[in-house]
Amino acid sequence: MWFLPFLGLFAGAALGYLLNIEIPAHLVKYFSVAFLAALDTIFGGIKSIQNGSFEGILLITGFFTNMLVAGFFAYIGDSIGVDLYLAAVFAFGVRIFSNISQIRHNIIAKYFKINRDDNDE
Amino acid sequence: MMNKKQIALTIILFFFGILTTTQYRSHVSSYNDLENQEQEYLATMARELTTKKRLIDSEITELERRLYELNNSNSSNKIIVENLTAEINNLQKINGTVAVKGPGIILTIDGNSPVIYTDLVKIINELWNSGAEAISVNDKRVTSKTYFYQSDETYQMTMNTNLLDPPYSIKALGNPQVLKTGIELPGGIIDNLKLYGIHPEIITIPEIALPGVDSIPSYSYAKEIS
Repeated sequence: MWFLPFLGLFAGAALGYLLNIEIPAHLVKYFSVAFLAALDTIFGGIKSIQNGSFEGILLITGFFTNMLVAGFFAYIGDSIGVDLYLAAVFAFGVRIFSNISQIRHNIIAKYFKINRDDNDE
Repeated sequence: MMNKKQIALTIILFFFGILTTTQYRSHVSSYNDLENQEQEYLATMARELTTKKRLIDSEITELERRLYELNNSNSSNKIIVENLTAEINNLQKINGTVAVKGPGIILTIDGNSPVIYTDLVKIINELWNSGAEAISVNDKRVTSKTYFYQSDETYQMTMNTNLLDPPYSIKALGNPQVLKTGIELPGGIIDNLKLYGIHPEIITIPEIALPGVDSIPSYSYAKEIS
């Protein structure tokens, strides 16, 4: 089940490497927020697969919307002198780690047949 | 259902891959950018490059010296003669000892204008300043030894030992547009002359001819310092 998604990841990575697009230096910061948003969406998606609440179209639209909005907010924040960039890094960071933790719990519960409760341990 | 999940995940992971590598490359290149380096590192780099440059510079000097030696020991007389001829031609142009031709401008001041000799000097200064390569006044070449004078009683102007009679015609050889622009600069000499009711006529000419000097000055006292 994981073969195709990984193929997609490597194909994308290879394509990005070959295209060699240079993000303008002043935009690198916003792309890093967009990157965090993308990462968050991916872990959220994996979690929802495990929970059985997965919806493909939601994931894809969420992926692009989150990226654009995150980058845009960071940009707006910089324009008006509010560090929304930091807020985004913090919020996405927290969510990513919490998602990873839940995914780990789910996997461990599944393979080791441990009765798990919903607390992060 | 599983298939749909896979496709959705594949699509986003594909784009995530592109984003990751692109971001990585951009970050690495901006990290390596000189602008983002530590000051100490930059100072070290500058010092090293300066040292290297000094080494290369001394190498160039050394090589040039060797080239000079080789030229002097091996070059045929023909090359020496060619070089000397080129130098003589150049000096003749500079000193005005030969007639020259080329593009330029002609500036004419008619006889009714209340010109004094400093006006001519200022015009000539401005023309040299604008890159004129040769200048003549009433078909007498202006050189490094040219002087102007004006009688206090008759206002008769002289250039060197020649009487200068109106209309005064100043020819300058050089880039016509540059010369014209230079002399017509706002607040410049032409504007200044207008205050006194002098309206010089300036025309650009694709080819003018300037005569050489009448007599070549001789030098008895000046000795070169080697």
